Amino acid sequence: MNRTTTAFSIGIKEQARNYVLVALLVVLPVSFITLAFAVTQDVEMPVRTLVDGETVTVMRGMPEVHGVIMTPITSALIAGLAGLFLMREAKDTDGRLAVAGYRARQVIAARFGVLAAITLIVTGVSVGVMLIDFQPEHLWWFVAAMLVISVTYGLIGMLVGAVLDRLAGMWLMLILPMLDIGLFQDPLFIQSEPDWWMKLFPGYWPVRVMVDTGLTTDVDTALSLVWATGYLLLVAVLTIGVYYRATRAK
Amino acid sequence: MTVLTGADLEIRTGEIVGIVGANGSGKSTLMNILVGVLEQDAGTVERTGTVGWCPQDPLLYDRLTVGETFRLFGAGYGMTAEEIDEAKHRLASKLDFEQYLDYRIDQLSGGNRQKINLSIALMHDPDVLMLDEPYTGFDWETYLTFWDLAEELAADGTAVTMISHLIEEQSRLDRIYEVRDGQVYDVTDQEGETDTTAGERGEETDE
Repeated sequence: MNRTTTAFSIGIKEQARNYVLVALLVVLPVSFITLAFAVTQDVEMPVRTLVDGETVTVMRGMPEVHGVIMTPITSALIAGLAGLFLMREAKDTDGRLAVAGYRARQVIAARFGVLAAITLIVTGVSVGVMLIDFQPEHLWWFVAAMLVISVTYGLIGMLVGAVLDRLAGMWLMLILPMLDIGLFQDPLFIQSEPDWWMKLFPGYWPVRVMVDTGLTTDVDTALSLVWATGYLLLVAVLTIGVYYRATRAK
Repeated sequence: MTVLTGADLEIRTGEIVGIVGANGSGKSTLMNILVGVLEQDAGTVERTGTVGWCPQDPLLYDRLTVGETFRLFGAGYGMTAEEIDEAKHRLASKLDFEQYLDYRIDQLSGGNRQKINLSIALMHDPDVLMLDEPYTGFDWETYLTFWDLAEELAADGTAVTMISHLIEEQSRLDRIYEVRDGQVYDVTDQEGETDTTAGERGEETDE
């Protein structure tokens, strides 16, 4: 095995032994998503979405809307914390790997690979739990937007881990997805387009896609997914830069 | 904050060099620059051959087993699986941690963790060995074993550098540098005096 493969496979083992992460993966989807469906009153609510390029309001069942919002919150929250833990734990010790001969790109590839694997699992579990109660109109578009928002939050977790300590980082990564996805982008709370500054948050573009492809029969937000992917790439470049500075041999 | 204002030193093949100085004088900063985990503001660091680094606080991954830790760092050193296995058992036998090879790092005592920390620096038989208070937490027997190892390595041509606080071990050192007021002084033959003698070859740094 080469260095990247070795660091990746050992990194996966290390994360599998992170019982906090495993517990979050088991407890959060059920408590957030399943309970959201169970306790939400089944009434029709006006929902803001995109139809033929126009922002319109459609009537949808409140549990469905709640489910569409709680699923990415769950996934973003766990992925964000995973990214945070990954960076906090690896930040200092990965520098020793560089002294041992690892190239920065090998360490980065391994760490990002671990985060990608965790994000895939988190997204899979979150969507799987959601599917018990709710089937989106366009499942694969929905899953694509879920992956984008989860990876974006995972990377943001890594960035936060580079500048804040564990406790401060945890608070931030607990609050950020709640505010972003659960408040600023929630189509139940914001009946018109969100303010310009709310659109700067990572949830804006992916949630548009999820509301559209989860709750309406036509896909009108393909371009939003492209913007969401662009946002993800921007965060990825920033994170790689920060990680590179931390792990390269001087 | 400026820690070192002028550090000029060399580490020669086959010698054991001590770096001494008061708490907070910049010894670890100097070593981190020499090793390459910290970037100097100015000056050059020249390293020839392979480097082994034992940091003051064990920089290890808590949830990996001792065996996995050897595998991870061994891959970095470019060692084969057989070489890693041989080094692991050789050092485990020498430093007496064979029974802990399947333990996770976070399940080890401070002393055993330090043995792994040191072993990771030694496992590839480096040309230059940088040790930052490598015996913290060792019992007396392990401390003596450590010195046997260091002397064996130096005899085989390894340049050994260590940060040391213990007066009694200064007789084991070939040369001694003192970090004081941001400067590095060669105090090998000048107890209590200062000397700014610079090295002639090997590794040097300025900050």
